[in-house]
Amino acid sequence: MRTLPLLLLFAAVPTVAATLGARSAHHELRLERNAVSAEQVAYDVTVVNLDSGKTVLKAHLTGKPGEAVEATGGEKDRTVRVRLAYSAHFFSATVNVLDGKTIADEFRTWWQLEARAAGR
Amino acid sequence: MRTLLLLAFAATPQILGARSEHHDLRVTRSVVSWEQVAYDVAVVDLDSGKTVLKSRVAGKPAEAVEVTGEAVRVRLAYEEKFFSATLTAANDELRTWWQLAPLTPQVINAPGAFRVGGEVAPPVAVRRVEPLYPEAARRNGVRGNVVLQVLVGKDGRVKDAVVVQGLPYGLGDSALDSIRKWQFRPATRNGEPVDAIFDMTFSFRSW
Repeated sequence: MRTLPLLLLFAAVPTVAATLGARSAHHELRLERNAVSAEQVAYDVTVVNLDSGKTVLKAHLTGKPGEAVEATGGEKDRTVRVRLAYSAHFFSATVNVLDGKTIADEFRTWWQLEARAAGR
Repeated sequence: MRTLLLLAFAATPQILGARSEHHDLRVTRSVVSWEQVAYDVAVVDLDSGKTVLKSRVAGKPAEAVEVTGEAVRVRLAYEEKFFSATLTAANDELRTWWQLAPLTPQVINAPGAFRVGGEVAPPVAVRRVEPLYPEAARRNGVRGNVVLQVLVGKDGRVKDAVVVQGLPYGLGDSALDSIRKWQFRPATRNGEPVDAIFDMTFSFRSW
C-alpha cells in the first residue's frame, strides 16, 4: 500500500534527470537521478575528495522506485559509501567515509520529492 | 596559548553545501571564538540564476540561527555531534546534516565475553521496550538506523550498550534507553549461558 503513492509519483515524473548534490568540508557528492520508467530509476553518483581533488567513488546504479541502493568505493585505507533511500515525501543520500573504524566524514541530505502542504 | 587556538579556529572555516533541483545552498561556518560562530549563508535560485539570500549571521556555539530571504528560509541548528541546515522555499525543501568532526565509534571492552556467531548462539529477546521517538527528531523528520553494540550477561540482562552508528536529535540515546530495559534468554556456547556481545539495529521511521 505504501509503495503505491511512490509508484504513482514516479509514473508522473517525466524522464528528466535531476541534478542534486551536497558537500561537507572534505567531500562533495554529485548525484543525477533519472526516473527512466515507472519501474526504474537510474542514478549517477560521484564523490570527490575535496582535499586531494580526486574522484573517490563513481557509480551508475539502478533501482525500483522507492528502493534503497548503495555504492561503495574508496582510496587507500578509506572506504566511501553512498546510500540512497526514500521515505514518503523525501529522497535521501548518505555519504560515509570510513578510515578504519573511524568515521572520518559523514553527511546526509534529504530532498523533498514534490511540493507538499506545510506540516505534512 | 588561547590566542593561538582562536587563530587556528578562525583560519579553518568549513565550507558546506547542498543543492536541489531548484536551489543551491552554501554555508561557510567559522568558529570565531569560544563564544561565537559565524555563518555566511548564500542561496541561489537555480531556475532564475539569482542569489535569493545572502547573509552573514552569528550565534553562540550549538545555538540555532535562522535567516530569511524574500522567498526562502534557512535554519541552522546543532544536535549532539551534528550540524544541520534546512532550506525551505515555496516549491522546495532540503535538509542536510554534517558530522562536525571525525568520530571513533565506541566499543564494549568486556574480557571473557563472546562475540555472537559460530558456536555462540545469540541471546533471544523475551521482553522488548520500543524506543521513544523524540519530538525534535520527529519535527525534523530524521529517520534511519541506529546500530548499538550490546553486551548481554549470562543472566539475560543488558550489562552494557554503546552506539556504533548514531542519528541526531536524541535517537541514539533513545535506542540506548530502550535496550537497557530489554531482557533476554542468554546467549549460549555448547549449551551453557555465556556473556555475549552483538550488534543490534533500531530502525526509526517517521515520514
